[in-house]
Amino acid sequence: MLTGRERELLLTAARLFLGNARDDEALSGLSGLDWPSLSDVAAKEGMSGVLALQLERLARTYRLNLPLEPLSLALRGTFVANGALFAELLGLRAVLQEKRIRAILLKGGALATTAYGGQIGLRPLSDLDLLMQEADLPVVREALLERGFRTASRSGTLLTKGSVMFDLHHDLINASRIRRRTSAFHFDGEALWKEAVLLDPGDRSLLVLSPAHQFLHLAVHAQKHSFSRLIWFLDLALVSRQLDWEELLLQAQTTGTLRSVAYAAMGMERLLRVQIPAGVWVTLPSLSRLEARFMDAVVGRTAKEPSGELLVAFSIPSWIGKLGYLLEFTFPRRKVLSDVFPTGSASWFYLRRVGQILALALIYLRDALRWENPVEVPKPDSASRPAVGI
Amino acid sequence: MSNARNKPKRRKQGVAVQTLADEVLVYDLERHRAHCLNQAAAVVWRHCDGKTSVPQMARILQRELDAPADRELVRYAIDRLARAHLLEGPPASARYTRRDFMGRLKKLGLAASVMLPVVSSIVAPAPAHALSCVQEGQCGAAGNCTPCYVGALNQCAAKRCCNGKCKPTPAAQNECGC
Repeated sequence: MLTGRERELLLTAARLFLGNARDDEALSGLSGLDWPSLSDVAAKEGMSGVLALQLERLARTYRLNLPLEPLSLALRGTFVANGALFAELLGLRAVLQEKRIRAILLKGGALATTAYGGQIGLRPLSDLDLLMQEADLPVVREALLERGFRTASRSGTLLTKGSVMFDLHHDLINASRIRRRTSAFHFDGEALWKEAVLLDPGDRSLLVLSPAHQFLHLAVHAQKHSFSRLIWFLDLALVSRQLDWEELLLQAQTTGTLRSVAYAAMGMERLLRVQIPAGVWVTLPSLSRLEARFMDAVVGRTAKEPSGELLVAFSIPSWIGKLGYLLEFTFPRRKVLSDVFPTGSASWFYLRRVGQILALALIYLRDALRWENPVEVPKPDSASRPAVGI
Repeated sequence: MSNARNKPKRRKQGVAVQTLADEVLVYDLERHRAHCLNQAAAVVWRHCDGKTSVPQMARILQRELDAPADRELVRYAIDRLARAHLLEGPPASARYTRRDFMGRLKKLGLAASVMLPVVSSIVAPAPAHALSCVQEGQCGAAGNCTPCYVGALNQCAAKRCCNGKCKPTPAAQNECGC
């Protein structure tokens, strides 16, 4: 949990990175810090690189002597680990070009090279996610195996070589794991490919999603993990700079991701002071009490998994659909379990999952009972600002 | 003197660059090697654009680091950068040694630690620093002490990989020295 001065400094570093804060805000937050705890929290929130960059800059500009070694080490560690990933990607790109296969680089891999301007020490990555046509997947897998990778999942789509990991996808929302996710989110594969843009103008084999699709995908992914890492809000804020909000909302309506966009926009505004156009709030759906509580927990950095994944049910139109989704989420098919947790027991997983959901329900129930004031649905400034066209 | 030596050009293809307050990190994606350039080396590397000559770079270096710099210092930096394959064209033949140069800096009365261009290799820090947070199934690949989770990502601060399992940090500290 992010609390007190460490939380504020981490948020200020993210805001500084976006140009939404001033140096003096960070400088005033430097005294009385618990530095080891700051480093731990920054690592957990995926923010070590950004924090190190900002603090190293402040230390140099204002001639401060700060204990930055753990953070600097973390940044260098991320740089080296990510460098190893991109070095393998460079090798794979040659294969993709030779075999005339196109792939879309997703999430962190795409962001590190685009939104973060290629400064690869800033954005931690655990793997590189590549989206491709289903027919191309075995060819790419074979190419990676020839390059010394080993399969790390039964489906054979997760491949590792030392600390380098590639996750191959043919479906953006992993509907093969929870099929009823498609009742909530429906990305049109054809549109994804049509609107995707080349990562490098000289190479037609590797693309990234269009800004609108990328934002929607990141919002859905972050929701799935209950927005548990602050870096995901920074990712969204950076991508949002390239957005045409009107187009985004149209795409969000088409893909069923309006609620995910609402959560993302609210978090960006409340945590990182990102200005969301007033008209956007008018189009986004109102949040239920439960969703508002979830967002309070997200902003307080206390949201628990799998809250976000459970809230996907709100994006499913019918009650039967919602129920079906919750059942499939709670009791995934055994084939899925054996793929995700190859060494674990399915029965144990089911028991644990039920326990997790019961615990979560108790937490929310306890909070609800303590909650004396009526909920004000946090639609920042929507009441005070006139609705303008978007 | 060839143009490559007099007006060298830095590599732009096949490298990833991270600019920091006092250093520049460069990952050579083709050779799988990471380098750290100190301020003096970074200034020279940044101006290796195929247009700036060695004497011009010496003046820039002097201005940016606010300390005396000469052509020999720039040539030494270029030599180090070329050896690390960070310049276009073939690597230069060995011409300077660090010891020779330290002696020269002392004679000139320069602050060696600031002015000596250094291009050092970065050794990957412990996996706990290097990787973010992995699922238990990935612990084998990620290595001991990498933050990990079983089921919920929120456990990342409390668990570490240890011999292929995701264990509570105290147990990982005990068994794997995290």
